[in-house]
Amino acid sequence: MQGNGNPVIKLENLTKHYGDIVGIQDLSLEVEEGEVFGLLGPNGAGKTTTIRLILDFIRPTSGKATVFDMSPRADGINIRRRVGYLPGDFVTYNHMTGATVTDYFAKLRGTDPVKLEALCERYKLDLSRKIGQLSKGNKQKIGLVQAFMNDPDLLILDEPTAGLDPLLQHEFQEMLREEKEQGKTVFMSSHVMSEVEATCDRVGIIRDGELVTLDTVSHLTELSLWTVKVVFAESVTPDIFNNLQGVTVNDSGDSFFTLSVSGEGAMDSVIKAASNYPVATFESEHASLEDAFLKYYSGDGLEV
Amino acid sequence: MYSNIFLKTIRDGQRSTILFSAGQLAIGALLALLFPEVSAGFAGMIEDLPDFFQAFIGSAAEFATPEGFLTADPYSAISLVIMFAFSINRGMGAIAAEEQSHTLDQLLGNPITRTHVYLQKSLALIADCVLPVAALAVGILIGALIMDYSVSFSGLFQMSLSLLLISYATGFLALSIGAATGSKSIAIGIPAAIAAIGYLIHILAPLVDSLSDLKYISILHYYIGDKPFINGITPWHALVLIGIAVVPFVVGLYRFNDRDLNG
Repeated sequence: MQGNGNPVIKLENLTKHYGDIVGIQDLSLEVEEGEVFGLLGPNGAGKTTTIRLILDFIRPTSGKATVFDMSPRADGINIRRRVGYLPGDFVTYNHMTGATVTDYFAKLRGTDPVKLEALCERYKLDLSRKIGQLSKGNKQKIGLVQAFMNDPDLLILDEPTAGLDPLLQHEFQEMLREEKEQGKTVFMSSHVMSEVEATCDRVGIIRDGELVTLDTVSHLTELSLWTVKVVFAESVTPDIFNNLQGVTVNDSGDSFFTLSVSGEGAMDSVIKAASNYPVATFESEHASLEDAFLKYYSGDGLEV
Repeated sequence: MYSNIFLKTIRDGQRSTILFSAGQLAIGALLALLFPEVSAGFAGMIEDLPDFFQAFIGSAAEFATPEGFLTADPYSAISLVIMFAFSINRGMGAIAAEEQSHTLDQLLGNPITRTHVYLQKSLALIADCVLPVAALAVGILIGALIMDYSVSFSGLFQMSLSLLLISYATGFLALSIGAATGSKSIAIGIPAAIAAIGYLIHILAPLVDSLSDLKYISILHYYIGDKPFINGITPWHALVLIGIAVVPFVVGLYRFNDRDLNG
């Protein structure tokens, strides 16, 4: 299910500079009600800056953000009443136990204790130990519980699965699906492609503070990148795949080629070029979003 | 105990508040116990000193009374320094320490405003300073009771009030500077420097004629310049101390609401 067309988060040319350093530049996007949106990018790309602008922890240099049609500055309290937030590199009060930390945030948010207890059980939280004695993964679980505890309409999660083991990552993805089924909206940042691929409807890829692309995950993975391995029955001229639009030769020998193929029409041109020779095997593998992302990040760019 | 920011702040500092208060109580009791013996010896010594040093220490007649003796120590010395350390540390811890330990984002991710956080942290600072100041007074009363002499209740109350006000002045300087900058070191450094320079001027001003007018820029002048234990608190001195707390409080609140928080 995609969003229902009503924008929950709306960013218009949002820009944040720290002196001469660009945090984000002219970021424009909308996140619709009911959709899971992933902001994908390497560390320092501007993901956390975007989230902190949305939550009014920092103020934009120019441009505008609205959440539920409200201004983060003027209506911050009304926005945050409907938001569950997990900060990146979640840290909390090390001298407090899990029980006192979750209880504290539950009281600040007016959370139903029954809902809190159910969440703690689901994540198998060890509430008796002090936060400072917990592993990174267990601290992250505390962070997720406090983000989910208030049954929020919008979840804003900065690198939510950092430090979680695969089982808990799966549990987290399951919880996101349930939230989505209930019509909740999720805005999450990540540099873990598989996580975004598994959970998000749409993804924005951000690099050096600028939005490089904005698309559905399915479309991006569909159009983005294929890895093709062609083995011919005899030696062929080495330049048969040269100068094809969207095709890069990664490796080649007398009779074999490994290609990266991206963009519409590129696969067709590869097949047509290969068909002039006797083909022994032809394997094509759909590249992961990670490969697509790395290609963006390397600066090659992709036509999608 | 963790049902709001105010109570959590009090609870977080509880152990240190108790330790500081126990220390103040012990100091108060010890000096009150020592007063009869020490003051007699001191009074004789002071009478033999030149006027120059009497101006520094206090007159022999003053030293002979518990109010004069206790004004010199602990109220002008060790207990004052302890309250500087206590209040500046608490003020710094309110916003700047929370920001630098990266818990402020998480706190402000809840449906509360920065003003809520600031006000509740401020209330906690106000409450926190009361116990060590009161413990000092209680210690003095215990010592006086044991040694069977009386201390002016009114004088002790007004001295305590003055100590509380100067603690708020330095504490709120630290809190507001921390809120305005997000820096722990600046939040400690500026009020500590104001306290230290004030202390130095307070000591030197009576000794050096050319410095005598400088006493008005010393925060200690408004705390103990008119000897509240003996003469009662001077209202405008109290107002100056309140002003030193309130003006940065207002500026700090404005800046805290207006600035980018450190991530």
